[in-house]
Amino acid sequence: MRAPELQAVTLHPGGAPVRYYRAGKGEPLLYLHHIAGMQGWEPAMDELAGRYDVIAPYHPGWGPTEGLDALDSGLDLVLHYADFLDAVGVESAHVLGHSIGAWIGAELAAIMPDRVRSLVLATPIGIWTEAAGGEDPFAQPPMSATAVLLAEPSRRHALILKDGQADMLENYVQEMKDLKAAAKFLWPVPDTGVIKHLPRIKAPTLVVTAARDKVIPPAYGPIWEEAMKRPVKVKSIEDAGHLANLEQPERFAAVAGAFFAG
Amino acid sequence: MKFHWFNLMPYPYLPEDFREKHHSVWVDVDSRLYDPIKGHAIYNDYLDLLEFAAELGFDGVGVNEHHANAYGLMPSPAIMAATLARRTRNVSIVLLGQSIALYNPPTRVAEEMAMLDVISGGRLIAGFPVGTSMDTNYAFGSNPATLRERYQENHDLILRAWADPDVFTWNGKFNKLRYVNVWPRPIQKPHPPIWIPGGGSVETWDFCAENQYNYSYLSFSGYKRGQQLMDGFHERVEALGKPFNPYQASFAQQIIVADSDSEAEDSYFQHAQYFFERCLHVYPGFADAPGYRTEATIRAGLKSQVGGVSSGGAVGKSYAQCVDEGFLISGDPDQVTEQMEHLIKTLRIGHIFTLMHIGDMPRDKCEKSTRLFAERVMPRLRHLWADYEDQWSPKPLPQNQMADPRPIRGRVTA
Repeated sequence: MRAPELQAVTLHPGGAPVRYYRAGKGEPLLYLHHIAGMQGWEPAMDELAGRYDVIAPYHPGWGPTEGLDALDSGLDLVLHYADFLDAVGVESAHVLGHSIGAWIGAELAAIMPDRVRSLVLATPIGIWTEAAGGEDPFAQPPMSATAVLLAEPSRRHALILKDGQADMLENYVQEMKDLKAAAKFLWPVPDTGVIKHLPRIKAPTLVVTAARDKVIPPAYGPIWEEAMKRPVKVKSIEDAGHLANLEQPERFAAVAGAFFAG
Repeated sequence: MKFHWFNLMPYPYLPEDFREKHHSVWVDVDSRLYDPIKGHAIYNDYLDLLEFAAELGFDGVGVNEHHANAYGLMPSPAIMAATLARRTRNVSIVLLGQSIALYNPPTRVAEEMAMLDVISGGRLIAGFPVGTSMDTNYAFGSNPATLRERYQENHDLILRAWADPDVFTWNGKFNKLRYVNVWPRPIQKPHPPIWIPGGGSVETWDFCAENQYNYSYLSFSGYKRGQQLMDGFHERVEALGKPFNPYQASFAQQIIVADSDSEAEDSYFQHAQYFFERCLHVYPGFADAPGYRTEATIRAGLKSQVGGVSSGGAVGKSYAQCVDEGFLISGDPDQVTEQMEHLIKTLRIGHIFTLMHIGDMPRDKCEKSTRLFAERVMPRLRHLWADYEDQWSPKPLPQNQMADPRPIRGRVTA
């Protein structure tokens, strides 16, 4: 599929426009990205767009979407996405939340159950235990801050630096900006309190871990499952780190896509 | 020209292989390296050195704030300032903490600084650092995405707490206080002089220029690398239409004075090497939390205080290179005087923090170097900037109103 154009929609008068991609046909799928943003229209999205109407916004403060200052809490993010769904004319959607996006998706499903048809929580951030631990994604050497998010740090060159095509300074500035936005909600310990809300979720839910995720080790899969207080599926993606969407795009899309199909 | 004696208070017993065997001197430095029995002697030696400098005629004695840091043993600088307030006379107490964004509520800072100003008879300089990323974000857990906003709010709250004689309500984003009412009140009106230690953020220049605060550039990379930062500040002052005054700017420099240049190299340089190699061994992942530096500062190409050139910049360099590149001002009194004059004139600063205790330097060597500086260097530089009025030094009480603290005596027997 040809990469769709970046679109913009404004949720409130005077608000910062939300930048998003939208492509594909089928039931709507809200794609909520990870802590380091999006690499434009990504291969995993493209796969999913074969079966779904994929809507992939940049969260406020990430990539070209501004407006971080207007948001202080998980509730603010939930309301932001409720307004966003209204603005793009979607009553309810399948939600694929990845990393910080999983936290947002889980909150949305817990607080506004009518808007979430089914839910995939991929390498979810939001619960932290000392036993399961995880590397600190915010304490990395600045020029290679996202390397820890990959199973193989050397893949960063191809997946994020575009084989050297990306401007090093611009990429650095953008990574710091994206991670700053993530830090606003997750600093210093990524425990958002979502655990209290998980039992409210009614939508069918799948938790996906990545076998080599250093930030959210696979041990968090059963912890999320337990916290849901009902049976949910847990799947794992091999040979992938926190950014499983970039390292194993086909598998990432296949796991989520099959679950949404029921 | 004013001179302040400043001690970072490093832990002097880091092992020789610290750089190879340990992750970082800061944030996750192994606490098993710290021996509190040795610590007792170290604190008392370091405080003695500050008092010694005060007696030798330095204008101020300085302390600062670091957390989880083996080269800065002052997590609470106000405690150090309190002992100095009682045990010194006439010198300024340069308190280059407290990191005002870290205290909740920040009225605590307003209270402690007011206490220090009153105890010292109006000798306090109130430093308002943002603090390094290692200190504020990692060791103290403050959110880097909101640190600067919080700093600004806390600054505004402290200033009002000192200036407003009435009880007021503060309804801020980070602080909600129904009743703000600071007791005691500072002697200096409307408040002690405010100095802003900066690591290299472009926003700090404008903040100091607009508010008439002293801009203090603290680095360990020396005056030749400090030029860009100090020029940047002076240019912003000019661009904002404010008059140039060298006393609005200060700079920290590591200095060694010995009887001869060869003594400085043979006897003293090893302690500077200890500092460069062990004390500045900071894991880069702790130097610059996402959001700590603004996009403007990143784009301006300014390295953060320790994450940049200063971290390990002098590692492996010879004595001659360290002096040549400005990491150290060092030599006999004539050589040091010459280098100091060059520093003062090129950076256009009216205050200098002389870092004369370096690394694991023993007390006797430090006393000798300090004495030589006070007796053989300082008098020859005093005349610099005589045409300018120093509006950034404290205005203490007149002598006849100054208390005379009771000296420490032996046990009283009946």
